[in-house]
Parts: sequence; structure tokens; C-alpha cells
Amino acid sequence: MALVGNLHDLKLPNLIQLNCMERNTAKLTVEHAGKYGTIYFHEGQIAHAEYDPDIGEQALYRMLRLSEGKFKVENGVRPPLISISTNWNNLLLEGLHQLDTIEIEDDSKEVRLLSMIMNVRGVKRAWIIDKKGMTVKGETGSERESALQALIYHEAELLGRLLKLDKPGYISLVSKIKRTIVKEIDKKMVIIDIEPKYQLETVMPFIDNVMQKS
Amino acid sequence: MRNRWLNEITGITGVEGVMLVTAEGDVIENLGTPDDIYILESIARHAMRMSAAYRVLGNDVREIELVWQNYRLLVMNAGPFALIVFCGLLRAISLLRITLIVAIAHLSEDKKIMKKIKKRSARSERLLKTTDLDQMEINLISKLQ
Repeated sequence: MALVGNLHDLKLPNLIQLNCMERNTAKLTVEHAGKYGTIYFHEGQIAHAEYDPDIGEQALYRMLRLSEGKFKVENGVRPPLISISTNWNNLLLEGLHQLDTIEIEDDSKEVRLLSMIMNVRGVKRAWIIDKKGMTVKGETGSERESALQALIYHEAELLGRLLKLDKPGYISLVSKIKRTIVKEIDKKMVIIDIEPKYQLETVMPFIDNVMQKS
Repeated sequence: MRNRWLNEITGITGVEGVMLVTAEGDVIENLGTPDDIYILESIARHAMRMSAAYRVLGNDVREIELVWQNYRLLVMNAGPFALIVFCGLLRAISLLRITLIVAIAHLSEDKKIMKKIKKRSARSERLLKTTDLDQMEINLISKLQ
């Protein structure tokens, strides 16, 4: 029988520790904001992890940042491949060290927000810009792209005024290669690139939820 | 007589109005929209300026959606022209999108409409160079080049 629960009640490092110390062979699945991550244990060692788009140690480190979400542990499930060979103790130490470093060096609201947005299914990239089109936080393609999105938001504001409306809740732009969402937060704008196959109506509730929590 | 396809679009529950504009922001036809032509043309220019700015970075944007709490503006681009739809509380967004795709296909075949569009066509880049830009627009546009 599978063990199910919420990361609110049982933290991911504790879950990992439990499976490793019990020398389990199992599959641990975590669902957060519609996105799934998996960790496979083989005879008490972490053998494989997947968290889109990462595989291996990087996927595990990203999953360790999750503080909420549903989990399920299925005993007896063997890993489909071995992508991790480091001892579980060292992996946990490194993961938690990375988490501490992020919190100490960049314990800003923006970084936490971007990290949470990146965990939403379908999100490929997210960054924050100011109204002058300068990148504030996150990974952007170029400063031209940041200027473009700032212009888009400014045009939307001007357009809204003509219709006697407040600032737009969000703007969605669809091109052949991606869907981009522009949303204001604290006088800055969050820009979110989404895979075009994902419907706006599916992704937006998760993004709204994340933004409300931040 | 109003274009049949504009009637079809405004027939969808939640749609308040629609206008057919050129890529340069000139209003060709409109139905159910605010009466003030100055406001309509300004709206069209802001919407089409977004598309023109995207094009500067080598990307064609085919759909722009501006969403407020109880209001939505949908811009569907079709190269030389675009349909701008004014919506209140809209429940059937998928139906609207399909109707717009069909309407664009028919409008592209409508010689009368296409003649009007071509007659007014200049270059959409002029929307990024006109004198009616505010300082913020000028600064941001200069960063696109």
C-alpha cells in the first residue's frame, strides 16, 4: 500500500532520510502546482530523480526547495535508470547547503516568487523586470526582451485608461514558439514563458495561487 | 450593412463589441464598440503597437489578451489586419477563439474588405516612430533596436 501525505506534515528531507535508513527500494512522487517530481530509492540509496526539466542531482536539489505539495511513496518500485551515484547523506547535505545559501544570499521575495513560479507545470522561464525595462531578477534572454515586455505592459496600461479600467490583471501574448504572460507585482512585472501546448486557463490559476501566497 | 462576421462575433455571450483594424491601427469596421472614434483608434494603435514591437525582435505575435477583473480585450492578428474584441464576463473563450479563426479566414477572402485594408496600409513600424508617443514609450522603443 502506498504512503500518501503532504509535505506540510512531513518534510521532504525527512521522507528521504526515512526511505534511505530503512534501506527501501521505492518511488517517491511529489506533486506541487500541477507539476510532478519523482525520486527513486534503490536499496537505501537515492538512485534517480526527475523534476522537469532536470534529471539527477539537480532535480533532487530543486525538489528539496519544495515546502508544500502532496507526496506518495510506492514501495518495491525499481528505478527506470540510475542517474545518481552519490551517497544519500552527501546529497542531502549538499541540497540543504544549497537551500541555506539561496536563503542567505538571496532571501528576497522576488527569488522565492520566481522559484515557486518555475515549479508550476508548463512554465519554461520566469523573470522580473522594472517599468524601465531593466531585468531585476531571474534569467532573461536579453535586455531587449525585457524592454519589449515593459513596453507591452505600458501599452496595456494606456489602453486600459481609455476604457476607464484599472491596471490589467495580466497580459497574455501568443507567438508560434511560446506563450508569454506579463503580470504586475509591487510596481514591477513578472514575465512568464509557458510552453504553447499548455492552455492559459489551465496554467493561470496555479500562477495566481503562487502569487497570492508570495 | 455590417459585415456578417462581426455580427457572428458579437453574437457570442459576453462579447460587447468588435473592430476590424489594419496592422497600422486604422479602424476599418466596428460593431458594438464605444462610439468615440478617437478612443477606438487610440485603442487600436496601442494594441497594434504591441504587435509591431514584437516584430522588431523577430517574433510574430498572433494573439494578445489583456485581462482585467471583469473585462477582457482579445486581439487576434492576421498579418495585414487584426480583430479586436471587447468582452465583459466571458464564459465561452474557446468558442470565441474558434469563431475568430473562422472569421479571419473569411475576411481574408473578402475582396471588399481587403481592398479597404490595402488602401490604408502603410507600414506597421510607423507605430513605433509616430509623434504621439509618450516619453516612456520612446525610451522603451529605443531599447528594442
